[in-house]
Amino acid sequence: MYPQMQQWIQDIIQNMKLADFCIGTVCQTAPVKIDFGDNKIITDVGTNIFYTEQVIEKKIELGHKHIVEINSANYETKEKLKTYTINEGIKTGDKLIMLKVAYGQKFIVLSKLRDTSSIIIS
Amino acid sequence: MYEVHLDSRSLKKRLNITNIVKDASISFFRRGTASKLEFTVLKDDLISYGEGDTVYFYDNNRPIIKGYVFTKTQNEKKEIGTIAYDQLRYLKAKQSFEFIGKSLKDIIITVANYFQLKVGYIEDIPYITPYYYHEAESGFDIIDYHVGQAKIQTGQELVFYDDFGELSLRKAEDLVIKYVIGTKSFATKYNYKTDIDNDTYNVIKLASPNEVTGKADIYMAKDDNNINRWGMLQRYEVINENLNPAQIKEYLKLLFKYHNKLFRTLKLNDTLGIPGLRGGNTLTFDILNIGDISLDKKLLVDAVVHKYKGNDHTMNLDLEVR
Repeated sequence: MYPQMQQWIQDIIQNMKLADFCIGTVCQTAPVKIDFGDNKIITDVGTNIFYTEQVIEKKIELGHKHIVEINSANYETKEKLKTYTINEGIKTGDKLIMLKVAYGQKFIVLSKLRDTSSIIIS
Repeated sequence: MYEVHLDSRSLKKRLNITNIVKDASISFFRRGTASKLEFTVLKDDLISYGEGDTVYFYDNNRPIIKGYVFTKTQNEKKEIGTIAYDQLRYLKAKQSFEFIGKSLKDIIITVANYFQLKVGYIEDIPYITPYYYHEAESGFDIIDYHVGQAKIQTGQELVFYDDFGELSLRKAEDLVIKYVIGTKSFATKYNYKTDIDNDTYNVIKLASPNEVTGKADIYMAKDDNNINRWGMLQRYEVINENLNPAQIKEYLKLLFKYHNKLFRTLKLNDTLGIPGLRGGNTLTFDILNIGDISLDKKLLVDAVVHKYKGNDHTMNLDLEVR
């Protein structure tokens, strides 16, 4: 009876789907699909995966603007110099560290996993 | 009169072992577990069977259960005790599945195909799961979850079972049988229970996290009359499924209808056997003066144990009063 009870308790705890971390690989974008291996694949349906600021695409545009006054009229010139990517967003092949929450129904993408010895990202 | 047949893999043939079966019992449940066939045979040099072999049980030529041998025991009297389960036993295995916009029928067929199980009649139920991810869950838990959700969302009682070797899903209303349980069936040993102890709630609150407002939306149903009668029995549930507000309101309505009531259960022991009666069947009740059950009440079979001894067939029954 005792080993059976232990098994029941373990099954109950496992079925509770407590919050846990997990690592997956992006196998498709639009919609995003993340593969955890062994046929465990989740699809982004708009409500089940939350992306933190770390993994949302973010770019900064650099440019300069001149305003010249000629005969009381303002003339403006704009020039776009460069666009820097702060965060790439996720792409196929990225390895992600995630939190599994809400009884295993929702996932929070915390960050990409990358080589920690590399500081400059090309 | 019952008959027990067996497909022996070692002998490569089907055997009729009725003559050497001493006694047998069959347990059927409405939900939660596989049906079980137990029997004892007197060891015979001609008989050989092992774990995984298929057993067929018939009552007056009517197919009752097709089981697979899982356990064998032998005692000093050379009696072999055998336990066989139906296909649902194989759904205890775990696997991961993701369902997007799938119907109950699709889900059952997907899971059954994965575990290489045979499927029979599956009722088309207007239930579609918007999204659900099952990670390393037993096939049984997966199907049971969606059957449970479909029951709540459609308000229909559903029964998922193995119908003599074919996984089946039917509405309980299609499993009504014409038998009447009453004093004529020797239903004299009974235990009738009414309670608000387990599943009764007269206030239900559903909280749904709202990403726009950053707070949870609360949906609530309550019955003041029943709060005055029983005190406040509140159920609080966080909705994790991907449901829209209209779906949550509908879910709340049906959930409240199910829980805002007194639950009545009846246990009967050693009544006259009804061949093939199983969990999920509905029958009529005819015993006078039991609590507040009126005549001609419909009873839903929660669990039934058929006991066969020689020519006698009796049953122990757990019933839910509808």
